[in-house]
Amino acid sequence: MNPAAAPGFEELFDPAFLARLNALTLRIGTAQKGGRLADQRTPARGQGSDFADFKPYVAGDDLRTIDWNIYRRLGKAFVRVFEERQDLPVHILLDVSHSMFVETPPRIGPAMRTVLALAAVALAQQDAVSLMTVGDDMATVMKNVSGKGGIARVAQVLADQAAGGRTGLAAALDRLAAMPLRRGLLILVSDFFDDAGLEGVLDALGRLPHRLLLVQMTRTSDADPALLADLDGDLVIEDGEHDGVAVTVTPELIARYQVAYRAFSDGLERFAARRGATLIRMDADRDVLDQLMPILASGRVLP
Amino acid sequence: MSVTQFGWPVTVAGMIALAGIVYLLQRLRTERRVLRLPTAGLWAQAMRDSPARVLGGRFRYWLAYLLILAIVLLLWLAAAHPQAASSAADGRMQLFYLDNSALMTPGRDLAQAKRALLADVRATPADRRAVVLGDAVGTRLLAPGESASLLSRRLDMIAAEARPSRFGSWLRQAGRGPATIRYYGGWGAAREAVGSVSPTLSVRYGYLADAVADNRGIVAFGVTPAASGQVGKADALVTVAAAHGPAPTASDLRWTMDGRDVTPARIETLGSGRFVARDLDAAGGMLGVALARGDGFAADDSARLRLADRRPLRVALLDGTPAAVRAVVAADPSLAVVPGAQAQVVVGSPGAVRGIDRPALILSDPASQSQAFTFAGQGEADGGEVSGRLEALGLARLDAGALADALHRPIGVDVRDARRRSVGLWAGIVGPASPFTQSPVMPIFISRSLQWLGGRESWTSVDPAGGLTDRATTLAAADGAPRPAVEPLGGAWPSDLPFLLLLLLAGILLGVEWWLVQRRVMA
Repeated sequence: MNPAAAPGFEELFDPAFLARLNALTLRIGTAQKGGRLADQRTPARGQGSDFADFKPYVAGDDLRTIDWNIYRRLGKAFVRVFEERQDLPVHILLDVSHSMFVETPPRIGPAMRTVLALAAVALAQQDAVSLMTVGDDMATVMKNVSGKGGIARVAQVLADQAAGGRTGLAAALDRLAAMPLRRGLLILVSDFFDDAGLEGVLDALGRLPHRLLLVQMTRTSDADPALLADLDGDLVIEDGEHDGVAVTVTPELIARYQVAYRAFSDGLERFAARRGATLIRMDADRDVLDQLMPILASGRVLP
Repeated sequence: MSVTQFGWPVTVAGMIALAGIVYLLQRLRTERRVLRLPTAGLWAQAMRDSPARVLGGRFRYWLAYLLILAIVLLLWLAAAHPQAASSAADGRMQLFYLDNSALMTPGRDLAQAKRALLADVRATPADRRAVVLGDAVGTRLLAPGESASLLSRRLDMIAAEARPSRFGSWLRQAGRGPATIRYYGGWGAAREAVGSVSPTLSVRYGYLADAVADNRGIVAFGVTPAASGQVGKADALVTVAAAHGPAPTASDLRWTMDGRDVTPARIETLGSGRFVARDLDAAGGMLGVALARGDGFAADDSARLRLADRRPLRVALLDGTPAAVRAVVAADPSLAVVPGAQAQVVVGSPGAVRGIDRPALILSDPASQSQAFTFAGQGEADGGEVSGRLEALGLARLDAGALADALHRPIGVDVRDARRRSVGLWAGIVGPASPFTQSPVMPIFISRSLQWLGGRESWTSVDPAGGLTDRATTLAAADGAPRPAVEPLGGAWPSDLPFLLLLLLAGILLGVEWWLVQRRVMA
């Protein structure tokens, strides 16, 4: 079986699509300090416009930050301390396994547009964006790109992707956890169907030091397979990664599938709630931005 | 085991064909469509959670079940081979009797009788029918419950035989249970037989051969040693009869010997259609007699028999042959003295007959032969031909005591096995001083011993011809008396019609099922 092709560069690098992203921001509660000056709030104290606290003056402090009103009342010199906004390391991990390409149309298209949208927002707010793909193995295809000018590069990198074998998501996440990366935001865009099972993926996600934004690529028929017109009679169901599953479709079988799917979906949801991660269920059949904008427009993606 | 429906060749061929069809159906099994979904893993999990077969649960495929059930039941009913009952059958056991006697030889009577029989048998339920052949033992051609297709093959091996009908004797021995006998043969034989039929039996007729107009035939033919006493000659007795009109005369008879026309030296008319041909050469030839002008019933128009070889036995008298034996051979006209090379039997001392591969009468002595009389031949030690005929050879009248006194030795008889026949006796027994030589038994013993050695059996009675009909048959063949109507059992429809319809219907439903499966209307 030949997997469907990923969207081309022109298809991804759509000005109208990118224009709609201007109003969006990607904020997390607090980024780790130590980065470049940017827009993300951090625990770092220094230059900035957001007042944070007072502290007693010590030699060497900037005299411009002495609060003279306090000195007049108390006779002691205190200086104002400001919150320093820095950049956020955004690590985007895109699932390019066969299962993302297997359908017609494939899920990889909306998945790439989701990645492009999130990367564009991050780049617009001067965050450092790294892009990795996972199939049989994990590959870093773009590292620490910042600035709006990087969006074209992201689109090009995405357009170059092809189906990458079976999903090795759990193993890839373990590798990612072992990499000496500045803590930031990990955006995982996947269908979450992995050889290690959902439990294996969630265990690996739990070991990551980053904040998590999980984007699950779904279709309505995943939860309700009766919507599939071809799901009837004797079938072989293939995901492009394993031997086909021979099934004879009966209402009993569909009911068992729905039970399995609910367990899968609930497991992902419970993990996100427990871990403090954000789970976005992206319907591959609907417009990506229509689904992203209500979430990103709220200002904070993660608490 | 017997395969009643088809027979082995058809059964095996059918098995091979079914194996091929099942194989093709396996090859043609439903092709699963491929559906590409990333959720295949969850479907696999759902399949693992599903039990392989569930007996309980809601039954959903009622229409498919009813369709398959209908097919199976139709096939099962077809396997039971239902037949339509004939309206002519009376509900009793039907015994079909096929008379293959000489009455059925004219034209294609037997073939037509077979066809009528087969049609009637097929129109009769298998459990209420049996078919009997009119031979000597009343061979059962079809037992109750057997398939009519077996009868067809068995009838192929039946031919009419030149012998009288046995329908009457069979009818007298038939069971007393209520049954209907359906007769296929000649009206003449049936008319004679049905007069004494049991009241529980009724006789119907499936086929009656047409009567032959003005039949004449040979009803007896036999041969006997010539009354003239000539050795090597025989008299032949022939009896003729005519159904209507005058019986054939001697001039109407044509005689043959080994297929060549011969004219007997003298034919005597004995009256009542009997004739004797005198002094025919009895040399082992095939004697035939036929009516010079045949008629429509050929079975009694000719008869044949093989004459015995009554020519004088050629005997070679070699060294050591006593004078008494020479005298007996010379005086017996059934024996002819010839040189050793032409002889059928040789006589002489053990040294004279040694090396000659012919039956021999050996004149020996007590030193080389323990018993006075010794008979040897194949299987004689175990009670062969000669062992039971010592009396016929004349030994019963032998005065063994006087002979023993004269020879000063006990007299005994020995019978043993040997590749070729031989008779041994002490030369002294037939010596000049032996009382045996003076006895009237001696020439009888010598003559009959030589005849036995030459393979000649006694010929004391008339040898009748085989394969001959009788007077009743000749007259019955021309029986033009009013005859009952023939009542065929076959109806307008073949009795196998229900069976064929079931198969046809099952085939149609199978086609419908296949069409529904192809259209994905049915799982």
